Amino acid sequence: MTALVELKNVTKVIKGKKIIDSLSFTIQKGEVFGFLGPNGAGKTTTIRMIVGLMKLTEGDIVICGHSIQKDFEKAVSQIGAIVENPEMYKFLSGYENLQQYARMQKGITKARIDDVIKLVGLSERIHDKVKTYSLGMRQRLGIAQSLLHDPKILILDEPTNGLDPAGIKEIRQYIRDLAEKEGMAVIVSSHLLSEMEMICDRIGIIQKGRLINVQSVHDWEEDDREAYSIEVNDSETAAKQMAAAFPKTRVKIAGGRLSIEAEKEQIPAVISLLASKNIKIYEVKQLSKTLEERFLEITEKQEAVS
Amino acid sequence: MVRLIQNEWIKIFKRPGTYVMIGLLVLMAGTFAGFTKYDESKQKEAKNWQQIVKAENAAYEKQIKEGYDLSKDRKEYLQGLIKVNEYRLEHNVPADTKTTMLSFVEDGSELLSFAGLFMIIIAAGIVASEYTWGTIKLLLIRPISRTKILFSKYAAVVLFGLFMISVLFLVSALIGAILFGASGEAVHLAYEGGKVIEQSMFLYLLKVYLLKSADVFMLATMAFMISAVFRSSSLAIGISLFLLFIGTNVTMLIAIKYEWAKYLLFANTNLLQFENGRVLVEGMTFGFSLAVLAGYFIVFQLLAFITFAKRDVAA
Repeated sequence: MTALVELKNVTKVIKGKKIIDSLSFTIQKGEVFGFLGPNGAGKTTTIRMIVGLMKLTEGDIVICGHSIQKDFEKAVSQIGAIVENPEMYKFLSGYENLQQYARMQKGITKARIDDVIKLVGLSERIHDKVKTYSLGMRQRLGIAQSLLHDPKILILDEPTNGLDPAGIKEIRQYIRDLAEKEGMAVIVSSHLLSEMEMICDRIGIIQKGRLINVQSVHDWEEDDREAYSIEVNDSETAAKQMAAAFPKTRVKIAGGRLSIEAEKEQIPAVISLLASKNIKIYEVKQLSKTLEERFLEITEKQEAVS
Repeated sequence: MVRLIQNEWIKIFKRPGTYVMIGLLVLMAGTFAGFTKYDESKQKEAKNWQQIVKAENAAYEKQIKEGYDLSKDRKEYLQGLIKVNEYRLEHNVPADTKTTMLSFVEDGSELLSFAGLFMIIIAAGIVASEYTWGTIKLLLIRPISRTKILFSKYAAVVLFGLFMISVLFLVSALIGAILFGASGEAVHLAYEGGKVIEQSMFLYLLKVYLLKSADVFMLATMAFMISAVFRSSSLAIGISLFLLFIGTNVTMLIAIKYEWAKYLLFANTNLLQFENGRVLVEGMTFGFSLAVLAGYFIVFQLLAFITFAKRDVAA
């Protein structure tokens, strides 16, 4: 595996404030990397530095062997990107917008423009003015624009934003294909965490300008501790009994229900304990832990440590 | 680079506002021509040109004799006019007694500040709009240095200015030909180095248009700089138009009292002042003005290019 993007101790100071604090990570060929973090954590700032919209205070970003600082033109020619919203010239048609970008890079033929349009499914409306486009269509046009020059690295900020469910599925498949078949490195940022889980191979969590965790999505899924919700007649007593019998298990009372975190094998023991203490059990439900909860878990833990 | 300028050109001409500007300019030239025609129709039958020229010369001579505060340059200029008129009588080169196509084109140069106004509007928006539209992000992640992008934008502004000036020139010629007939003197008489020489009228008009455009080009450059530095087209338009309309007058007021006024931008934008000998501050020359203008130009461009290339794009 070869690293296409390499961040080395990237630091950004704006007005004396450290927005990004020595961020280092690499993104490999054929990999979809998810960039996750609460608002204001520095996701967009990092993306802006990768594409050269912002200067680095310290450190370096190397793209396909070219430093973004010393060799901007060569480095950035390997990148296709949408930064935040795909803003286009509204008074031009979709096609004219693509022509604008095609003129700025060598070797983009008319056939290539047509291919890309077909790829994102905009053939029918491409000659309409962009101001008549829906957000989803603008998103597609944005992706078309980022793919025009056949880059090795694709950076998409909120790629499924404003798309309908069919569109989301299509883009998701499309991103996977680009990584797997074309060997592109894709960097995605999204606030839809479940979305990330489906698209990404690895997810990097950034908080307060620091990378606090990089995990492969595969690892996350192997966590076998699950949350269960138990409906009982007397949750207070039940909680006390649980705490006495299973001191290692986390027990909470939420909305009159018992909420515990346990392995699947422990559940029969929990049920027989509660039954033996004459507590009426109405329902035991497994709560599948969402990526969101796991994400919050990691970020909360990190805050507790620091 | 050509393709970058082409991009900017397309962005200018795909907006309806641009056509409104061209339309207004044409309308203004038409109205101006209409008024000139109306004015002329009220005048009595013109006398023959010899009489007019003789009367003119008498007036000039009176001015030279009685005007004590006339500068040396001004006197020379008036003397030149007399020489030209004498040349006309001697060689039977008739002067225009009424408006002709070519003389209307010369009058049309009064509308240059409107062509300039539109050029300033384009200059003020060409960088700032990209920020407002948010398209600056997609523009600056291309493998093209920011210097080249900014240069292509400035080139597009200059081309647009030249385009508007050509429109004014051609429309004036066309309307002039329709209303006043395609006649007129094809020869311009100039007084140079103590001699009267015959020049091509077309070249003379070209020179007038270019010299008169100096101020709008400088203001457009300033608007461009403000646009690139502050990313605000309204600020750029506001400051530039304010200066376009009052700059010259304020500079003249300052020039009455202070000699340093000659270093101000607007003391030097009127390059025609060296033709008619009415310089703002004694001792200014054409070369001096060009040097001052070049100085301002370099400062404006440095400010624009340095801030544009260094800025973090966070919009």
